[in-house]
Amino acid sequence: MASRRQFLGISAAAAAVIAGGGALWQLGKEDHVELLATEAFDYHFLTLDDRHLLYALVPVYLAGALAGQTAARDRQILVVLHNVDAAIRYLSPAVRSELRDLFDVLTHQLGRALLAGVPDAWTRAEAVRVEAFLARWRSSFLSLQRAGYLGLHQLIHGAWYSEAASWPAIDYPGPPRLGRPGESGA
Amino acid sequence: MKTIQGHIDGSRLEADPQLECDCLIVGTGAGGGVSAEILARAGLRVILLEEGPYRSREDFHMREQEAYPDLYQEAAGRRTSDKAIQILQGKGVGGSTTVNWTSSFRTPEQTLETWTRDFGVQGCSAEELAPWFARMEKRLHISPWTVAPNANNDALARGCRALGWNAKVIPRNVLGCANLGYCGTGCPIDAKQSMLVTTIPAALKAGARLVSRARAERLVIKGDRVTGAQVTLMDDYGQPRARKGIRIRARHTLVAAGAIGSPALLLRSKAPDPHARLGKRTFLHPVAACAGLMPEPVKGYAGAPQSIYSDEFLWPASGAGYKLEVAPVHPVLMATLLTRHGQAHTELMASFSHTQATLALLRDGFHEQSPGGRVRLDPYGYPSLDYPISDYLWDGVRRSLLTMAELLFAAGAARVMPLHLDAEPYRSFRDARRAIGELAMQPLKAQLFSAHVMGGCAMGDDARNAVTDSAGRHHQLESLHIIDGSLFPTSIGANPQLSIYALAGKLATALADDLAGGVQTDLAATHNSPTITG
Repeated sequence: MASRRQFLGISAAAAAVIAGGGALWQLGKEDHVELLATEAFDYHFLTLDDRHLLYALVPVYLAGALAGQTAARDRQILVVLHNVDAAIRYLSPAVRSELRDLFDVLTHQLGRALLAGVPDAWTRAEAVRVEAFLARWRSSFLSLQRAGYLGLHQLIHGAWYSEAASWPAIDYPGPPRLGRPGESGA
Repeated sequence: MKTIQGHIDGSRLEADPQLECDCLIVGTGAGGGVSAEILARAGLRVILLEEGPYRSREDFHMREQEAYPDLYQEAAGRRTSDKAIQILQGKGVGGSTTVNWTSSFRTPEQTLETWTRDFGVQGCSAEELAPWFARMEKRLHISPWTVAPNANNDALARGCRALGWNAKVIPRNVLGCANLGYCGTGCPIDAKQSMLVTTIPAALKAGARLVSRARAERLVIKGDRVTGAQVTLMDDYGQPRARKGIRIRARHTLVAAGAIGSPALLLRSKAPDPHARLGKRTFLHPVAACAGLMPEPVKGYAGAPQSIYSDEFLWPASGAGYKLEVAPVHPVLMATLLTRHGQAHTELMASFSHTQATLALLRDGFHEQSPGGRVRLDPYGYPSLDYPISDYLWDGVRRSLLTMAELLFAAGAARVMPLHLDAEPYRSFRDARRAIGELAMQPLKAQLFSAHVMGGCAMGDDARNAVTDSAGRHHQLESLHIIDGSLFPTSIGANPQLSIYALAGKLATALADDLAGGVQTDLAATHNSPTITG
């Protein structure tokens, strides 16, 4: 087994993550399909397919920023999804229509495979594939793909860093307290 | 939200209140706010229309999450049609004055000379405008900031000092400012002397009425007269309420919806435009930016966001000039501007409190290769701004990135990163200079921003070149004025709010004279109104 790992050019540690962690990852994915289908949140824009897509994208856009523990990370991803949905409610009809097109093309299996280069359904997409997709769109010579990367970037990073839960990691104390009635802590 | 006398919330309105007035003012920003006070105090019956919400200090919690969707156009994500330039523009009562960073400059004399010489503008020389600047400075408590700059601004001062470049203190429109640093999310202590706390309460006290969450859909044009507006009521998310519209009848109409909104309203109204000037020459002060990683904490979120500027590169002998300022650093702002993802993004965010942000705003509209953009309507009737970026402007962007990198290293930065998709954090000016020289200057590669929208309804006495005359009177339509930043024939070359205030003061006073015959213009004697009641 060890020689085969070396043959594939990956370290023993990485192989262990893929072999062991991969199975856990799959298990987590199964859980999140259930989670997304059953959560009680009144989405106005994101369809279930959109949420599966975002569930695959968010931990890659925000790698290193979200909680390590699966249940905590799942809760954080849901908050990001809720905030993304809320933000889109304020956008103009033209921008919402563009986002609808973007989500539709990426959640369609042909778009996912051909444009994103991700062979598996978003519910089973591997993080390395998602990472490669984002890197490719970011450096694309097509301004449309760069715009897609940047649009999702803005929605997802805006959704996370507007949350007080993201602030300790960046050493931001939150807004100053003015001692006003009803004021909440950071 | 507190209630305010004379305010109607369009998101709650059920029946058409059959409103009528002497002057309908569309928009409550710098142009509409100043005009409202002058017209209402002249005894005219004024109605102010505002597409966004009415908010007051109790609503301002210094949270980006709340402020961006509520107080900015398109949730702070407004962009040019090719998405290359992100436009930060206010919405809601007070317009951009409610959320701007308080920088208050008189219009540069070179700009006014250009308007007089090249654009047929009368009455806007530095001498003729001086009393209006003085009056608005007094009214809005504008004076150079006397508190020490925060570390973010101090880095700009330090870098300029080290390089022998000029740097000065920014005049701000504040009274009792606590140096909190949250101007961009609405002042929570009413220190910022925005339209929200000065001219609009004064106008309401003088009998004006304010309808918020109400978008002027189109002007009602009968022959060559404007007789009011058809208005769409908006919901809490800024979306049109189904089948909710009202009609407002007005003897005179004053459009002050900003440089994107005003041309869009006239386009929707199919206003005559025989010389195809409407929506043309829209300017943005395109902004390029650099982030600097400083050895010491910067805490760019704390303290007056802008207090130092440099005009060292504003009027070069050739090429596009630019003004140097800083941008406040708040979590969402920084996270969305750093356009990487994953671990690389997380690592940059870890330096959040040590990050300095310098910006260069390009003075557009002064060169044949800088004709600005064009506002048109999208299929939904909303404004869309085409703004092609010429080689002349790209050259200015590249030079400004070099300037900012040099400045930041001179100020002691350990790393400097130009905001560009292909840029890295560089360790020396030598590395940065080489890299910036090779960066592709393309839309959605170089990251560009705008916080200033100007032009689109240019003034000028020759109807072939302008939408209004030098008094803001529409060239073709009776009973219609435009008084806002859309009148500017070029960009300003400085943060534009005081330019709008002074011009609005002058033009609205003349209009009040016309409409009311005799007018009380002692603005400075007006104190902040006590009409906001619990």
